Amino acid sequence: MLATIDVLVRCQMMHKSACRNFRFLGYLVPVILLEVGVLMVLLKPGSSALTTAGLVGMMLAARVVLGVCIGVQVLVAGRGGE
Amino acid sequence: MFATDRLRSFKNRLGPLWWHSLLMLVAARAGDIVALCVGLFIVPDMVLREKLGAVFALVRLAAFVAVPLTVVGNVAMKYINMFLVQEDDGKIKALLRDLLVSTRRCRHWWGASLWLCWAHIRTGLAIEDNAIMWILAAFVLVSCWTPVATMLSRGLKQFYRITAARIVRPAARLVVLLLIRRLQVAGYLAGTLAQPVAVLIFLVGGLRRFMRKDIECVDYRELKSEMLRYLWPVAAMTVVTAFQLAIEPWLIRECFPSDESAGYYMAAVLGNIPMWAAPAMVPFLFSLVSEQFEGGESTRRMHLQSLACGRVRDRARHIARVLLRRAAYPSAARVVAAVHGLC
Repeated sequence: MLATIDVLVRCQMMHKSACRNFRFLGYLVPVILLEVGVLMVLLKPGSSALTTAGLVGMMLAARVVLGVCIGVQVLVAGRGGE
Repeated sequence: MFATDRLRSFKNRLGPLWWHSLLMLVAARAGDIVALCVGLFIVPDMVLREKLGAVFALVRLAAFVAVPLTVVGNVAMKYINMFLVQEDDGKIKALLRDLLVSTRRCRHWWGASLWLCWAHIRTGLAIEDNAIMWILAAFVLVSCWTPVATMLSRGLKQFYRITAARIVRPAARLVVLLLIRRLQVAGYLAGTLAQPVAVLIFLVGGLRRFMRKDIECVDYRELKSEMLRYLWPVAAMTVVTAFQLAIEPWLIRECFPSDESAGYYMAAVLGNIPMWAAPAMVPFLFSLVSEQFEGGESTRRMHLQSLACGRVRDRARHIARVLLRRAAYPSAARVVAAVHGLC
């Protein structure tokens, strides 16, 4: 799932940047910064605030949000919204 | 002759994106077999289990260091592709020349930064070997050039060369690993270093065509403000994704026990195997979409096809799970179970 959504994100980034359309940054940047920020706060060396499953779950949640955003952007573009 | 005609007709029916993706798929699978042998049989023997998690973090760190030139390379890829569509070899040569100069400048700055940060890197990753310092320095220097050469080759649509590089890459690594396997992490990093060096030599060969003396450089100054406007969003996109890719394995290495970070490394590497179709397409997508866009054609069909391709995983998912179970370390079972989501 992580790898699948990473590839979707890459395809979206490639296509939109080739067409000089950077609206996807509106969701990509906040979601990734939020994920990395939360991980850095929770995962201090020696701390047990987050388990391994919790870490992977958080990485997965961020990617699911990105996947949904890409889907919405594609649907909106299909209806002439972009 | 008949076979050649049939092949040509098949190629025309597929179109450039899927034809090159198919070739890349075949080349990448050949490369994967070599990479799989290295990952399953050579790496666990030559790198101590507790050091394995450091490898992933180090490789990602080198990629993170190359981010500034990746941003510049992305912009160059877009404009060099545009010049190629306009058949303006003079501007291509001028842009190539400017990139060589800026890459050479960045190299010195990165070498000095690495020297200053080395103590922190070594403590964070728990590595004592000094030889690694030199290999990492070489890796960082090569990392300056590789993304630029790769992106220029993509922008110039040297697709066959990019596909062949996919086989050259793991082959070079395998040869080096077999020669110096007793050096443990240093040997592994030297093998990892051999990959971009071999690819760089191979790709630069294709760029020489545009650096011939009979091509006059043409100034592209009138496009510089437009290039800068394109650069900022590309920089934001590249920095954020590189930050994510570097920080995830780094945190895992620093905050979890060595066995669990080693398990993450194995799971992440093997989890990428089932994503067969999509990465084969990605190197060609940008140039072809950009070419259509600059030519005023609709790119929606190619966009939807690329997104659909990203979801193709089918039976390969099952195969990867079996491989994960066999390759993962027993003590890393929790990580492997959680990272099963990868495939």
